[in-house]
This record gives sequence, C-alpha cells and structure tokens, in this order.
Amino acid sequence: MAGIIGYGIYIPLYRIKTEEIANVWGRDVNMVKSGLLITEKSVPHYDEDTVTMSIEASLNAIKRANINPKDIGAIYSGSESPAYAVKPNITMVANAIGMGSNYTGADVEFACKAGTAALQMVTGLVKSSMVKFGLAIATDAAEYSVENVGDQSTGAGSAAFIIGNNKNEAVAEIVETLSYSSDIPDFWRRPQMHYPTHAERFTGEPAYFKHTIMATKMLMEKIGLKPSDINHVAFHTPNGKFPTRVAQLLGFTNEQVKHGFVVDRIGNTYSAATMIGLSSILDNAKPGDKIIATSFGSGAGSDAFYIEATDLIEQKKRLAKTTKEYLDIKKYVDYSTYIKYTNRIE
Amino acid sequence: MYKSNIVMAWRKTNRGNYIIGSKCKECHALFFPSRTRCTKCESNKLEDYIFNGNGKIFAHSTVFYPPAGLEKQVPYTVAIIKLDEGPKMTAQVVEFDDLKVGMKVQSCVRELYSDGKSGIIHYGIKFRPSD
Ligand SMILES: [Zn+2]
Repeated sequence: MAGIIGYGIYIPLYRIKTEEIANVWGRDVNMVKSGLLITEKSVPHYDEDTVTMSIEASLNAIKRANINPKDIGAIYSGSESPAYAVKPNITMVANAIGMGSNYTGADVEFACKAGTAALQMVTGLVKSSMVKFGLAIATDAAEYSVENVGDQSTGAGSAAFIIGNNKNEAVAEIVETLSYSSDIPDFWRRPQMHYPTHAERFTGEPAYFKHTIMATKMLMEKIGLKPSDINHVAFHTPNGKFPTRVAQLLGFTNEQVKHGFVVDRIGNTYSAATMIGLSSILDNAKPGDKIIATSFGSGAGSDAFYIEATDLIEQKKRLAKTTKEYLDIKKYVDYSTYIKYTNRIE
Repeated sequence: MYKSNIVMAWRKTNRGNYIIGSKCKECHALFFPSRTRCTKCESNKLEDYIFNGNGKIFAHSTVFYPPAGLEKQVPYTVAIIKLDEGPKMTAQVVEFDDLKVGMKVQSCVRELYSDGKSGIIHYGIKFRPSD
C-alpha cells in the first residue's frame, strides 16, 4: 500500500493581471483572456526560486504528515527550472527541512510531468519498502522571453507530497498509477538556451490531448471505473483551455473539474500544475472520494493516478495553509515590478 | 562583483536553514548568535538551540545604497527582530506593505545573493509578516 501521508503547496504572494502584460505588448486583451482562460498569474519575488518554493511546500507537507523529517528516506524533485543546471535542488531542500543525511534522491526532468514522475518514483520506493517515507516535489518558476506570448501564462509554484505505507496515517491512498509516453518534439529547450521553443504544429492534438487521454483511459480501464464514478479530476494546465477541453473529451463534468482547476488564478506552474490541482482537490475532498490526476510533460508523456481519500482527510487538511488561502492572499504588481521581480533587468 | 568565501558559506548553512543559537545548560539563558560562554552565569556549558522562527519587529531601516551584490534588491528593508524566545537578530524583511515596530513576523528561506552568474547561490533566513 502507498498513501499520501502529507501534502503541501506554495504559491508566491505576488500576481500580475493578464491585461497588464497584454497591454504592454499591444495584444487584444479579450483575445488573450479567452484564448488562455487565465485572468492573472503568480509572480515569484526576486529572492524566490524553485528551491525556496520547494522548502515552503515541503514544510507544509511535513505539518500535515506530522512526522520527523529524518524519517524521510527518499526525496525526488521534478522541475524544468532548477536553481542550478548541475547541483541538485534536493540536497538544499533536504538540508533546509531537517532531513539529515540518510536519504537517497535526485532531481528529475520531464518537462511539465517531472513532478508526477517523482511521485511515481517515491511511490515505488515506499511500496517496495526500500524507504519508510518518501518526499516527491514538483516545482517550477519557468520563463519565456518577455516579448513571447508564452510569457502571458507562465506562473510559479510548488507542491510536495509525502508518501508512506501505513494506511492509518494516510489522507489518501494511491491505488493505481500508470503512464503513456512517446517521442514527440512539441516543446524543448537546448542546454545553452535560457528560454524554450515549441512547435505549434505538435503542441495540441498529438501531444497534450493524445497522451492525457490515453493515460487517463488506460487507467480507468484498469481500475474498472467510468467517468461518472469519479468525484474529482485534475489535469495538467498549460492554460485554462486545454484541461477544460480534455475533461469534456473524456466525459467529465465541470463539477468534477472545478476543485482541480486553479490555472486561471496562478497561471501555468509547469511541473507543479497537476500536483497543485491535486492538492486543491484534497483540500476539498471528503472521505471516500475517488480522484483522478493526469499530468502531461512535453517530449512527451502523461502519468495518471487513481487516488481515494481516507477518513483522515478532514482532520489533516486543516494542519497547513490550504490552496484557497494561497489563492486568496495576494498582492498585485505592475509590469515593471514584474520584470524586476523576475530578475529580467540586465 | 561580490565574491563570497564558499567554505564560510557552507559552514553557515550545512546545519539546515534554521535560526540556531545557544542555550545555557546551567541557567537556561538563550543567545543568538551562538556563544561558547554564558554572559549571565559565565558557564561554558552551552548547547545548540533552534528558535521557532517567530518574532516581532524591534527596529527597521530601508537601504537605498546597498553593498556589492545587492544592487538589484534596492530598496530593501533590514530589521532587528525580537524573537519570541527573547534574543534579537538582524535580517531582511519582505512582503510587507507598511512595516511597523511590534509587527509579528515569521522566518522563511530566501535567496540572499549569488556570486554572479557562475558562482554559488546563497540561501538564508528572511522574515515576512506572520500568517
Ligand atoms: Zn548561564
């Protein structure tokens, strides 16, 4: 058995409104808004990065898990914007949260699904009893160049999940997980480049939709459940439109989607997106709720999870700052402050 | 460009990004930063003490002319924080609108500065208004 013992997220305090960016670059505000379904996005302060955000999310997860951090034997972090190209985020995070030195781990990369890949790795280590508890982190503060329309959607955030094998400690059981992957050049970044490139032709149908749908369908078939049996779903959210459409194609209703859908208020948090959506669902879940979360990472692949909330969910959700609190407590910045905070003034 | 001593920086952070001071084993006095001898009872039996990270603004000042390495953070605010357990420490404060003496703050880990584009990144304690 593998269960979520604790979970936590972090979203920076600052936001910029979609129109604030669109106006600077002469874009039609309504077109940008209806195209992306994003009204505002989170902005990291100049002294925040994927390490500091991971520390915050992990401390929230530890509060809910109520365990000694030294009992965490594995830490995996998924990101496409780690603090260093070479030197892992995880040792800095483990040090800061007091994990001591008896742990294994690595930083992993698979575009926007690196976080759920970390979650699968940790789940495997816990299920095989190689570690007592494992910490899976998803964290990103990705950037496009300022003039790129992609800069309208890139948000920042982190999610952290502590996995263990004792059902009496779990807020939810990870009942099943599987993946669907293929080689496709939809989005990439070469090592010497600061900003990514994407192939418009491949972004939608053959990449996001195909992988998300295949993984979710394969999972539902394996667990023998229909869309109407599920209480909540979370998908990767590169914008608001893709997850809304993919939910429709798979036969899920707005009611099932709503708690896992936060992209309209924080933007695309890349690796963290699906796991922040899942955290928001857990904040709103009732004992016994059936949850599906399917990520997507360019390159490309999707990890799908079937999760069932336990009786402990009601009590543990209150032990740390909730997704709603992170969404509601915010401060707006103007465009020049945004550029300063994201360290893009040369 | 400011360049730090990597060894010094490692010694500071390798025990976690906690606020670590000392506690006198004889009279239980608390100190920040760490000391090897108690100023209250002169005992030399002190142990590490981890502060809980909560405190109040004791005094603050905003920096407009920064030392090398902090140019792009201007204006930033430095405060003396009276920790809940008693001792005071100095750190930057972030995320406030109108900072007042007595305001409750809590610690967080942030990037303090980095050694240019190729050097190491230094993380450490800052404070922000309490939740
Ligand atoms: Zn003493």
